[in-house]
Amino acid sequence: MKEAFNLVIPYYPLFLKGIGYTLEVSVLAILLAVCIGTILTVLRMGKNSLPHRILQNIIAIYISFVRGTPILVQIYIIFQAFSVLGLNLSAFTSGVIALSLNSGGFMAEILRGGFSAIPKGHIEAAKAIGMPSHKIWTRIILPQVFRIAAPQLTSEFINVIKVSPMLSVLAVVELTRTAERLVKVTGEAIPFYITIAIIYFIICCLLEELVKWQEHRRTV
Amino acid sequence: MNEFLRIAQITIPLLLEGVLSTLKISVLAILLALILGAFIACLRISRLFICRLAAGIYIKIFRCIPFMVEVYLAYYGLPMLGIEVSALATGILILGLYTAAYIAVILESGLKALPKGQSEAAYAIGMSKAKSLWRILLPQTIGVIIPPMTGQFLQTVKDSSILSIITVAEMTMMTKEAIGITFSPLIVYICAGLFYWAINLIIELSAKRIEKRHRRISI
Repeated sequence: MKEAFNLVIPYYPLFLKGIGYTLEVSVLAILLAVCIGTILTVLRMGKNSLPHRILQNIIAIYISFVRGTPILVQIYIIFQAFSVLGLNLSAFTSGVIALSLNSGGFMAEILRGGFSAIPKGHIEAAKAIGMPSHKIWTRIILPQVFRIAAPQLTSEFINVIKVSPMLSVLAVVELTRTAERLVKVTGEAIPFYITIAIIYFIICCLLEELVKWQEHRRTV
Repeated sequence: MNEFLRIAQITIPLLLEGVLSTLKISVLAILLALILGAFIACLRISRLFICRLAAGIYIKIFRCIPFMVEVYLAYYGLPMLGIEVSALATGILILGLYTAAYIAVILESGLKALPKGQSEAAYAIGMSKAKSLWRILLPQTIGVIIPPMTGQFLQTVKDSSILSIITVAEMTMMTKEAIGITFSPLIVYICAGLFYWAINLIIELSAKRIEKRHRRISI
């Protein structure tokens, strides 16, 4: 036990850097995902014209694909697609894009749930006093949607943190990749993996408490 | 176009092999998870504080650590504990343990959603706790738990892709093999994505059917 401890401790700057990277990737991905999810939600609601229906079907297929395939495969597809298109993006950038495209699909579903919880009267009232539709979205609907869906949004953030280790397959040096490297250098596996497991555990537990607090606040 | 056909000819048989292997792994892991998850859910609703605590800790640990890290821990940890098993067995085991935590939560919330009078009535007519759980409570929860259970099964199929990092020959691993032969990663990965998508759509649709039928019976 003590040996393992002594083995891990000297590398703590690397772990801190790894935590920083993991959080950076996750925060960037979740912010982009909120944007993607919001756009998808706005596009999905609306008139019943033919182009609109086609758009809605495309979005539905996108969401179904994102939810129906493993994120690992999505990460590979995005990475390869960029290199086939000739865009030489770094592993970090394409990793963030892959995570946010994935999470955006889930986000759209979460936001739709929040949307359906808004009383219809609010939208009708806004229309009655003559608000233009973009103003109804930005001032009436979205603020309420984000407040209603706050706990689920935090849960989705936890999910993003939990899938971020998969970016290590693209050689993004986040927490898991850091551990993998140290394992290769030192030849000892278990102490390092246990360390990062504890770090992830602490981060996720803290965020889960946040979810509980948000849910509590909503019910009171 | 010819190029594409050539790639498809090499890729598809390999991927089909991978599909079978993915399904085998997922089914075994889900079976393990159902048994273990039901057991943990029983602990969660037991009267003893220590049982509830132990189950709670299990659920917390497995839900709060990323699956990839758990896979690494199992892969390197089991041999250290003196358990020498193949990568495949390790993968099925850890996937089952991981899924069990989620299934336990689903079952627990399903059981807690039932009105209390149900278990009280079963107790009043002298049913043992196990019997009331089996004959009264579980059949009633099925309608509630089918949608989240389906979601969990889909998640398990998707999570099995991560086992490729410990060289389990499931679909993602076969994809890498196909890339090694064809040298066109994008097309092969897209094919793999479509296969996974197809599996998940099939599971989803059949779950919807079961749900519909169950609803008809209960009405």
